[in-house]
Amino acid sequence: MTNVISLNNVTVRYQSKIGLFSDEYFVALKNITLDIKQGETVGIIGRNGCGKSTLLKIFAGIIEPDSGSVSRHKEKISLLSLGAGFDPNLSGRDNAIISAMMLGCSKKIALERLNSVLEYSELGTFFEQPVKTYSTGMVARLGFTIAVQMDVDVLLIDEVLGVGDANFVKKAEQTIMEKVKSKDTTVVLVSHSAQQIRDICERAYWLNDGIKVAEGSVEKVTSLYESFLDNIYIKDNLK
Amino acid sequence: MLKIIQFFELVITQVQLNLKSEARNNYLSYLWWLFEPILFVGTFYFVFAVMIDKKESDFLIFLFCGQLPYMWFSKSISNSMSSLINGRGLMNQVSINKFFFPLVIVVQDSFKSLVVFIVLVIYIFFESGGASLYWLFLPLIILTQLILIMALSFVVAMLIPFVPDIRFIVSSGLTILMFASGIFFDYKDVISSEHKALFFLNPIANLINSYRNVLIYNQYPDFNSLLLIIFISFIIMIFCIHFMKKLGAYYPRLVIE
Repeated sequence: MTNVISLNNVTVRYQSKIGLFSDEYFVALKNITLDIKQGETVGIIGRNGCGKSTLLKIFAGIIEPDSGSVSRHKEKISLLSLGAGFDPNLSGRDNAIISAMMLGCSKKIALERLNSVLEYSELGTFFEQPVKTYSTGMVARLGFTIAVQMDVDVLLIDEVLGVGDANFVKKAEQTIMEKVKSKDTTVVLVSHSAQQIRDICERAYWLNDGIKVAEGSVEKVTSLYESFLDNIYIKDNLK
Repeated sequence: MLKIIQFFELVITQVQLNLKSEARNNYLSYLWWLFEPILFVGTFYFVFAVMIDKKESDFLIFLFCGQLPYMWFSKSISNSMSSLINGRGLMNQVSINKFFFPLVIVVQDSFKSLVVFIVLVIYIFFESGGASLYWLFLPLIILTQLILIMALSFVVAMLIPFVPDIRFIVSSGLTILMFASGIFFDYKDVISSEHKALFFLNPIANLINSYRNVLIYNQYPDFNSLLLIIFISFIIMIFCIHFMKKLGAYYPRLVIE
């Protein structure tokens, strides 16, 4: 199988404080080397702040590493995000148009897809209302719908499946599974939940404090991760 | 090529939606485009024509020809200052050309200003009882100002995430320009001949002078200064494009909350 994305010794730092006399840095990823292959479903697991989201941004080409190299062999790599960029004063329809265009659609295609966005998101008459009147779940539904309708080669998902009502979550998971099965789309899922990774992925990486701790089959990596969490839990309780 | 067309389509759509969104935020929505300059010019007129009693027949038009270009310039620049920082949510989700953010601001403010310019020209037409052929140069002056605004907006938008302190320099600079560009005085009355060269180092003073030549005095605009402004602006833009190629990928990390 061919590689879709390869990382070689990638390090990413964030500047946490600027000043004339002192610069402080926080290292989000340390010497990460990994490959994502065509058509596979990869899970990235780790606790909050371990560098998962930074890794997805590297995959998507949103940021470039401070050292090391990245090669992306596909053009359409898209981060599935939940409408953080929505304009609250504009209707769901207007936001759907501009968001689809941001993700790479022409205006014509964005307009053509509006009906299926309306249908899939189940927003009904709210679709014409300003987004500021939406509940959190509705915003998430609209965001997921727009992103999932894009034709992408690599779909990057950042812990988004747990939002919306139970019905919609099921539907979202089904759609993701269809993409996974089609083998045209490569899927990378980031989560702190071992169960979610096990449900969807074939292969997994475990990140801790920006370092790749384990990689391999999803069973092996998730069970290592879970015993690590159990250890922390026991230690905390012994204190 | 297709990508560039799609990029501009995206900019235009974003501007349309921003204008719509902004209008919904205020009761008087689009009318503010006209009211805001009228408020400023009204104040200047009150101070200089009524209180200081400066009696010139077309002083009101004189003020508008100075204030409108200045407001277009200062609004675009000050809105561009935070454009990349305000775009942090978006640029952390999609990989997008960072010029998008200042460009949207410039197109948006320019569109508003253009509408107000048209109203001004109609007003002058009825006030002075007709048009003159010199008005045909108006698009050239407007285009020159647009190019200048684009170049400087890019510069402030790109530098401020790296050095936020520049914000203070730019806001003070804009206030100084308001007093130094001859909005409410005629440089011919006020500036001595030895300081004229210094006064015209300021591009806004040059632009305002050309606007007045064309709209009030039935004269040619100052072609030399317009061409010089276009030339320098293009050099600045080339520098910006080069800078962005190297550093564009740093912004999502730089502006993060």
